[in-house]
Amino acid sequence: MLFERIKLEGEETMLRIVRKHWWVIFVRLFLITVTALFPLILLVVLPVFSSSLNTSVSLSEHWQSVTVLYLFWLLGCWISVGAALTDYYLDLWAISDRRIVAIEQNGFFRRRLSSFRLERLQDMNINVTGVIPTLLNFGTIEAQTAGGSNEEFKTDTMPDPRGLKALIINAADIRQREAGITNQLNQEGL
Amino acid sequence: MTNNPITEAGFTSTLSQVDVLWLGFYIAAIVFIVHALIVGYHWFTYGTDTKTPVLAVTIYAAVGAVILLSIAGLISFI
Repeated sequence: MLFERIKLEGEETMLRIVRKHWWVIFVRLFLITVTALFPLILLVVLPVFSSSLNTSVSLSEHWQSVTVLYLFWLLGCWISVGAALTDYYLDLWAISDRRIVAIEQNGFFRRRLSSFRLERLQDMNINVTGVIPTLLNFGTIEAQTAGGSNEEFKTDTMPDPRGLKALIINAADIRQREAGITNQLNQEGL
Repeated sequence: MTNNPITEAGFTSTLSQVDVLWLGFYIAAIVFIVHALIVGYHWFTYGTDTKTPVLAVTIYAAVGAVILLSIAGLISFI
C-alpha cells in the first residue's frame, strides 16, 4: 500500500487524501461510453443510408460474426476504462500534518512522486478558470516552497481548491509554530 | 455459416473465418489478462486502502471475463 511506501514518520498523521475532481473521470468515461456505442449507432444509421443509395446492406445473415466483432470492440473499451480508472485513482495529493506528497501517474509505467515539508511552504496559489470549473468548484493548486521548484507542486483539476488551500495553510502554520518552538528550546539548551 | 478460406488479392489462406476469430479471441484474452495483472499490481501496490482495489480489480476482471466468454461462446456457435 501507498503509506508503507512513503513511510510515515512516528507521530505523523494523514489529514486528507485528495484525488482530482470527479469531472475528470466523468469526461473520460463518457468518451469511452460514446466510443463503445459508436458501432451500434453506425448499425442504425447504415441501413437508412443504404436504402437512400438503393444498395442493400444486410447484416442479419452475419449477426454472429458482427456481434463477436462488437464484443471485441467492447473489450477494447473496457480495457480503456481500466486504464482511465487506474490513472484517476493513483493521481493524488496525500496531505499529512508534516508534509505533502504529490503523486502523478501517467499511464502505467510513468509515475512521479514529489514531496515537501510543511515548514518549507511559503505560499499557495489557486486558479479556477472557466465555467465548468467555477460551477463544479475545481481548479489548479500550486504550492511555493522555500528554495524549491514550484513546478513539481502544481496540479490541475483539484476539487475545492479554496478549502484545500485553507487546510494546508492551517497545517503549515501549526507545523511552523511547532518547529519554531523546538528551535527556540534547542537554542536555550532546554 | 460455411468455413470458406479467405481469398484476397490472389493469396489464399488456409485459415477459415472462424479460425481468424479464434485467433483474435486468443490475442484479446492474452492482452486482457496481462492488462488486468498490471492494473491489479498498480492498485494493490499504490492504492491508499485495501477494500477499493479488491472491489475494483474484481469488477474489472469479472466484466472482462464475461465479455471474453461471450466471444468464445458466439464463435463456437458460428
